[in-house]
Formats: sequence, structure tokens, C-alpha cells
Amino acid sequence: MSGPEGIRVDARAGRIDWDEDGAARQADVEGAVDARRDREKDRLVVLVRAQDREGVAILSLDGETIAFVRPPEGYAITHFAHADGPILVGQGEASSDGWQDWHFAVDDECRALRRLGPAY
Amino acid sequence: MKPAHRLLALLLLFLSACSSGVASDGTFKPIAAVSAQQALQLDPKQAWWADHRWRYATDEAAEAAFQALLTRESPWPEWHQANVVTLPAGLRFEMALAPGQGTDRPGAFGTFDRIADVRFVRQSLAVKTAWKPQVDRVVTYEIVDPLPADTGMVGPQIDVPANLYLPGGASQFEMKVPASERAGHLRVVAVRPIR
Repeated sequence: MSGPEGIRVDARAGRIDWDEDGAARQADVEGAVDARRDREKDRLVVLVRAQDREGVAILSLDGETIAFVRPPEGYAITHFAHADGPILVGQGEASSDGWQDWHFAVDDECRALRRLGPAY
Repeated sequence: MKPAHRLLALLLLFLSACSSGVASDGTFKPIAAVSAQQALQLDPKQAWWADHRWRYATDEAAEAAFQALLTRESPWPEWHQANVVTLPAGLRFEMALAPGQGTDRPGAFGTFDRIADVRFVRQSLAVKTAWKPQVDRVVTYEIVDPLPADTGMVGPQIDVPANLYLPGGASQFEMKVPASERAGHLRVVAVRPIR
């Protein structure tokens, strides 16, 4: 499957391919369904939906896994908000501050998803 | 509000009053003070003022309501009273989806109006760019399991980064079930791309 920003995610094989400085890169991430390049932080953000884990994997641009972040309690991370950016949409089990769904971003330390604004 | 802005708002109200009224078939056709085209051209606050100033007893009260809209970003009009009903099986509605958003991951909001294009999403459903940066498809769903939902009309919004007034006005409902249960109430009837 071909994705945005030259990132290709083969969800069936759990494989991500991309180009970095003209060189082909590859990483295996079980359950990977979509990925985006985080240009500000020089990393890849990968949406993961496997049987035993759901959340976001963060990879270096060399393909090394840096961290795996689970969704905040009460939320499922469903898709990326942009075709070309690392902001994620989390759908909530209950309303919070008047909204069920919110945008999230991986924090600088790759430890958690930080809530941003409402998502429609 | 500056005197010049107030004058422009009053002029718009006067012009809209001239252009609305009795249609050729004799029926009265209300027309919004600010048309979609004007909404794109006017200063957002002027446009909101032309449409909504009349709701408030004083300029101060209208200003407070405008500021509340900017701060709270409620998807409902200020006058909306929660009206949770059970939408019956068989009822169809439409929803705008983002690229990469699966039809099995519907959002919380739907409309009983036809979503013709992205402009309708922004102007009539008043979906701010920040709320849904990109839209590429419309899905028609059918309710297969009765669905509790708050129903009403889309409220106006101010899209500050885009410097736009979004009038709203379309029909709207918000599902009142946990997100993980939304898709279980629905069946996909059709999906079509929009621009």
C-alpha cells in the first residue's frame, strides 16, 4: 500500500518502507496500519492496531523503534488528522469538555499522547 | 463594535431584508442576513454580528456571546437545549470523513442534509479546519440499531486561523454512545468522494 509522504505501509505484512536522504529504509511493526513523518522531531509516527496492542509506535528515521505509546484511558486512536502530518484523532468513550473526539500528538519524550483540540 | 462595523452590519441587514420576503409563489422565504458568499468576504465578527446581534438585548450581551463562542467552541447554537432522542432503525444520514478515516470509525456527528461538497462541510456544518483539517469522502449510513442522539441545528463558528465566519444552519445530531459502539449501530449504504 502506498501512503503519503513516500511512506508505504503494508498492513498485512506489518512493514513500513520509506526513503531517507535518497536511501530506502524499512521497519517491521506488527499491526502497523498507517504512518506519518514528524518533520519537526525527525521521527516516524506509526498507528498500530494489533490484536494484543493498540497505540502509536515511534521510530527513528533509521527505522529503530524508539517507543510505543498507548492511547489515553478511554480513547481509541483511529486515524491521522492530516494526510501529511503526525497529529492523531482519538475517539472517546465519553464526552470531555463537551467533545467525545480529540486530536492528540506524541509528546517530546515519546512517553504519552498530549491532548490538543477537539476533533469533529 | 466600531461605528463603521455597526453601520456595515445594519446595511447588510437592510439589504437582506430587501432581498428576502415573499416569493413568486406567495410564500415567505426567510434568507439569512449573511449569505455564504458574504460570509467568505466579510470580517468574521462583522458577519456574525449581522446574523446574531438581534438575539441580544445589548451590544455588551452580544459581545459576551461572541467571546463565549470563540472560547467554548460549542458545536451547538447558544440557544440549543439538549434534545436527546432515539433515532430509529432505517433512518439514513450523511457524515464527512477525513482521509484515512475508516467507515468503521465514524465520528460523533452526522447530518440529515446532503453533503454536496467540502464547502458545505465548512460553511453549513461549520466544521473548523482545526476540528477536521481535511475531508475527502462522504458516507451515507443507515441506522440498524436505535441510536440515542442529541439533535438540532449546527451553530455558527469563527474559524480564527482561516479568518472566516462559518454560518452553520444545517441539521445535526451527536451520537450519545461510546465511540467504540458507534459503528455497531450503523450500516454503510454508500461512500462517495467530495472536493
